Amino acid sequence: MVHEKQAAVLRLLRENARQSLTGMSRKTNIPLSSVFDIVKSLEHSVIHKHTSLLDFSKVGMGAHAFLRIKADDKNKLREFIRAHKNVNTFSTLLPHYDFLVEAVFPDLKEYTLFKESLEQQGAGVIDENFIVEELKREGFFSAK
Amino acid sequence: MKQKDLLVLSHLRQNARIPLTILSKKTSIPVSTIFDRLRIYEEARIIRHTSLLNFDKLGYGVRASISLKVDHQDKEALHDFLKAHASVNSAYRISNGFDYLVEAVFEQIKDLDSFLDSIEKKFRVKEKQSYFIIDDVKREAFLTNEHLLPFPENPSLF
Repeated sequence: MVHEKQAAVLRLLRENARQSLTGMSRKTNIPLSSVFDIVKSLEHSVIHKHTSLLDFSKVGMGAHAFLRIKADDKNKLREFIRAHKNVNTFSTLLPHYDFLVEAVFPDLKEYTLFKESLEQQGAGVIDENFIVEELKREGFFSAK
Repeated sequence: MKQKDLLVLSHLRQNARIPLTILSKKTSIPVSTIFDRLRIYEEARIIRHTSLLNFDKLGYGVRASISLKVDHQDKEALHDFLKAHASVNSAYRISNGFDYLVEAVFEQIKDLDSFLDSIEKKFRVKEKQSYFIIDDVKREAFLTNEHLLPFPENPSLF
């Protein structure tokens, strides 16, 4: 849990993680030194990492899919997915499925090869959904 | 995209708060060039810079992945509802049977139940699937490993 001042800084970081400490100090009326301390404390607690969210289509990745997977061989498949460079997010899931995978590829041909590899690496049931439009991404605790 | 663009993006993907001077040292690209490129990325390739959360530590121990199919006439209203709802972290319009895929976070399971109930009361839901996200293995990992960038044999410079 975070207190009020931490929450104010966290909301600003969720909206723009590159904004300066001085900017956050001005927007929140929290002294600069305190903002520095708050950011450090958040980085050691509730912040997983600061990242730049990509428009995948603009970096040449035209096929964007989410897959729910029931594994026949969980350990083998987990390692394969974890190490795959086209996998953006990878979570464990319950019930009915084991894994939720978000992956991006230049085209459907590359995606199909990935799906075939998943089957070879121990995927049983694969439920796939292609992203047509992004409504919201990482919008929780943020005005964006 | 050029190799150097990908390299800069990979560092920003690893740490969006990296100072430009350090990014310059790591990539051997002048600070002024990185500054200019960053503006270009922010207009086109980068949606925004954000801090990813550890929801558990923030007190939100319930995360769900929800697929929804609704009556055609309700699609636009559901679109707006999902976009505006504070518990929805990410939402997408999808193909393959369902209309929307939603990632939402809650303090307790009863809050997830209320969220799903409210959707069923407001919209004509034809089909719904809900799963618990238990643990993250990777988050926003694409293009974060500079050793796995495409085109390593052809490093085009700015």
